[in-house]
Amino acid sequence: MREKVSDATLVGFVLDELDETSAARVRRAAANDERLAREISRYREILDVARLEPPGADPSEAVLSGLLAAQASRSRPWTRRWTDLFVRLTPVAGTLALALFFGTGLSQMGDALEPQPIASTGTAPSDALLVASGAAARRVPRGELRHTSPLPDEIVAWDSLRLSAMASDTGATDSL
Amino acid sequence: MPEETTRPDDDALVESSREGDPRALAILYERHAGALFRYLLHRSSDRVIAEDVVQESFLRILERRGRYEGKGRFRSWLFTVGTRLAQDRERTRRRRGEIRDAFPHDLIPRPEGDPLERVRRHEILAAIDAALADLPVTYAETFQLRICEGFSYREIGEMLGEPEGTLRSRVHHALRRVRAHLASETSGTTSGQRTGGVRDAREGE
Repeated sequence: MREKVSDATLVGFVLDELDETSAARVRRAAANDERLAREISRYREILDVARLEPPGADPSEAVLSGLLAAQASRSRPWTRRWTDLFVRLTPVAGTLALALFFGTGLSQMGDALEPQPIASTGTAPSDALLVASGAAARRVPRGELRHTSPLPDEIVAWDSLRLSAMASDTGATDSL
Repeated sequence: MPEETTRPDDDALVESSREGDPRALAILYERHAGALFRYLLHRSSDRVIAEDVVQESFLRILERRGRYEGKGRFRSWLFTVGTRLAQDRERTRRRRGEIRDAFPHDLIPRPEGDPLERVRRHEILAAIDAALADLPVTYAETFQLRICEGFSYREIGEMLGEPEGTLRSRVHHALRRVRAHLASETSGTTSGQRTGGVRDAREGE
């Protein structure tokens, strides 16, 4: 006579969570029941596949670089979210600032946003602004930018201050 | 610090890091960041978030290495920190109404072997992803920690602060759900594509 094996026991069996007596009972039942044997093999197949590691699914080099720089400088690296926000914000702010500074129209800003080399750590605010603007313009994949200092809040505050200072110096806000 | 060829254990590396050896953190990172990243990537389906949380986790480790008690539990400690940071992120995303993206397709494992076997394995992956996306995050995270990362129920219990029985039940339920998805897939009711899902829209259990 076939032994009845509940679904919970079956799952416990494939996960190796049963005591030896119960496991032996399932093995015995499977030997006499092809459907049960097939179910066990299905579950094992699922577990094998679940344990597969996706190839190439590793964090980018920038994560370790940021960590090591943080360790050396005792400052916190920018997170990816802040870097992305910075990259999103700076083309607009950077273009506006450059337009004000050079007294040129927006249509002439293309040259100012030419791709520039990307600095990896310790970029000064003004360089960071230009670098990020250039990077955004040529759609650098996210992950290539990772700075260790200064903090993004400071950048945003600095950027706003610089912008308003430039606006008052040139009086050019209205021309935009 | 001993040379890497002697494979210093994690506890020795944490100790070296405490003593100021800058290489220790890099070795710990090389050893564990990949697994943590994959786990976090499955949770968030977002490379940027997963990388952020990996970096933040190691930073926390760096800041709190003085409190580490050793006993060969570095990996478990790292995943505990990563899980808590990921949970914080998920709460924030839920508050903002952000939804989970589809799992990045370029990261789906491409099993080797004959074509039929590859198709079969792809179906299973689709079923796993669909089942985990349907389940509350707590089920999916327990399944990943137990099945994919191989932590014991005791270790997961310490990470998540849950009793072992609850965790066991979650893994059983998740596995049965995968099986059910697979059955429906083979009967042609769902496609073979990994679906991602909107896990973040669901709240807890």
